[in-house]
Amino acid sequence: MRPIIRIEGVTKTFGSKVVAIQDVSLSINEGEFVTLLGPSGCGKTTILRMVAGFEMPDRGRIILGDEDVTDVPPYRRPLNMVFQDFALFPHMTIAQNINYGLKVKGIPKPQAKKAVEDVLKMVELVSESERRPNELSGGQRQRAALARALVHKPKVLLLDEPLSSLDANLRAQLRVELKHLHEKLGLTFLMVTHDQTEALVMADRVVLMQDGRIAQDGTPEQIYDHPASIYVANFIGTTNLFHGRVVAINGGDITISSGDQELIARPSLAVSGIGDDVAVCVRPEKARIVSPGTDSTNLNTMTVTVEELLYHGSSVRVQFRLKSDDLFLVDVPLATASDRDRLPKTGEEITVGFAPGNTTIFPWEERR
Amino acid sequence: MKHSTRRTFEKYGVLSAPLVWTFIFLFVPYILLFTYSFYIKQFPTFTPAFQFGNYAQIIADSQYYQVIFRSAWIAGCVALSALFLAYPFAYFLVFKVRSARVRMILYMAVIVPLWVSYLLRAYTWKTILGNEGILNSFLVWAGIFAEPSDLFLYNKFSMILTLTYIFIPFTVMPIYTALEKIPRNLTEASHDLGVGPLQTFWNVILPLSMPGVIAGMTFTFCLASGDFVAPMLVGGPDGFMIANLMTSQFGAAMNWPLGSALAMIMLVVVLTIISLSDKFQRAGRVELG
Repeated sequence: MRPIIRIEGVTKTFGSKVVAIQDVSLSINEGEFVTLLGPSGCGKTTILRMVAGFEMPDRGRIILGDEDVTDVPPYRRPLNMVFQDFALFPHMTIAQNINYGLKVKGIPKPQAKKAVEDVLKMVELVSESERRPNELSGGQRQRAALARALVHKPKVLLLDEPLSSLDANLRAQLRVELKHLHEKLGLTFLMVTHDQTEALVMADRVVLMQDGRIAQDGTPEQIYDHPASIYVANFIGTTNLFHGRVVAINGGDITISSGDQELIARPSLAVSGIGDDVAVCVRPEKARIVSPGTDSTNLNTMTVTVEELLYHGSSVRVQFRLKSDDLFLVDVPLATASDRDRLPKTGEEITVGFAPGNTTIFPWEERR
Repeated sequence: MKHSTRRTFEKYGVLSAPLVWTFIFLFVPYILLFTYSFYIKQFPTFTPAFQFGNYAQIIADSQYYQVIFRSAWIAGCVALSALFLAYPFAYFLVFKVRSARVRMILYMAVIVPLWVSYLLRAYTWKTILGNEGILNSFLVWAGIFAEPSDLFLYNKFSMILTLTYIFIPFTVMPIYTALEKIPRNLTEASHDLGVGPLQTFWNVILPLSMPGVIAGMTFTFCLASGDFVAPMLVGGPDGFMIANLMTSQFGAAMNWPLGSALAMIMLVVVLTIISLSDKFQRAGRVELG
């Protein structure tokens, strides 16, 4: 695969002190759907804006295809963006909005008309083409913004929180539509979002940002199942985090004592030797309640007291408190009616189990 | 029913003071003027009547409508030159000045002169442009002119310059407001679509700021066309405007009926312009953001 965007050692500072981006390098391949994910202020939008050309990096290069575009103004870059609040021109109809760039570029009228019609058909806005943006619903505006960008057949489509101003149901629906659109067009998508579900559902690759740096770069599965740090584990999904100490390292497996229990964790580079303090991470849905009498030989087990049951509709989140006073959550799916009957009661003492393969450890110092 | 009557009563109660004020100082004078415009001038004063002689005189005698046209022409020049100065300035403030503080200071610099006596501001230009004024002294000192010139004062040029200076804040304010309301990401969107800065200005910024442009030009035009101080101070014979004509009718000429008829015509003209401008503004106004 050929890289289409290469961000090389880019640093960006705002004002005199605020470092927005700290030496970030990132390569995006042709046809990929990459998501820049992170909380607000992590620098994800700044990266997108630098790729678009609205911000200049202080240091480093941005290469688009074979061309170094670091100093190229936005209107000469062969990529287009869908803005967060869509930025449709309020004084133009939807068709005029889409045609705008073509008209100014001097594309012959019949050709431009055809292109506008095609893209309107694609986003199903043909009957709204003569309306103004303020006469459209949020979802329609989003599609109009998409059409306006796609009519230029950009090498890369940039999306700045494209779904954040829509309501939840529409967002879920458009997530899938955008993903399908990406598959259909085979374009490169670079999207910024703070919504982890969006990132996990849509992207081929997630780049998780933290304080102007890349915290982890990988497929959604890698990011979720093999977080590179506590920050990543905490940002994506929910995670249980508690203290442990390394008591033995045999081969790849690491034995940890936590409270009065012994647990096996999967191999980790974070551990240097016996006696190290570590943070143990287990996802709530990877743990389960072990009924008495069932086989638990290959599981890490802990005896805990039920503190609270939180009903989530499709599952129940059972909250325990460990001896170390850390919370521990277990998600119990409610697939059948009997699942509900088997739920423990508050104050009951039970055993929870989780596989060593789902037990990840990080250096204790990383905890914040 | 009873409740709503009380509400109505309270509403007018609150508004009574301003209503009385407007009635006494706005509507009564207009009604008086309107009545006077049908009176007959009879030396040394005038007698009540209902006839259209005053209006007929204005239409028949070319000197009256020539003054009206001249006023309109001068006011038009003022509105245009104010626009060409105010627009770039407002644009600069909104899009180029990064510090909000500097922007505020520069904006205030335009507004503050409004607090200075209007007469003083008009008089300033007399001292700048006059025979012994700053401009002439400088040109003589620099050796460009052998002796002070009266080229700068008492003509249309000095009128337009002075009126532009006096009324430019009324052009800057609405344009500034209109530009400030344009979401910044529209410029970015335009650039993103491959459109350069000039075309972006022409296709996005200018159309979206048109309501401000129309409002500003209307203000300036109406204020300038009715001005009578600047013509007196810096105008000379060339700058004799409709308002001067009216003052002379109410003063030296002692022809209140004719003055009233002129005032009524100007009122209709100005109201027509304002309502037209309002219509254009509404047509150009779009939901932003």
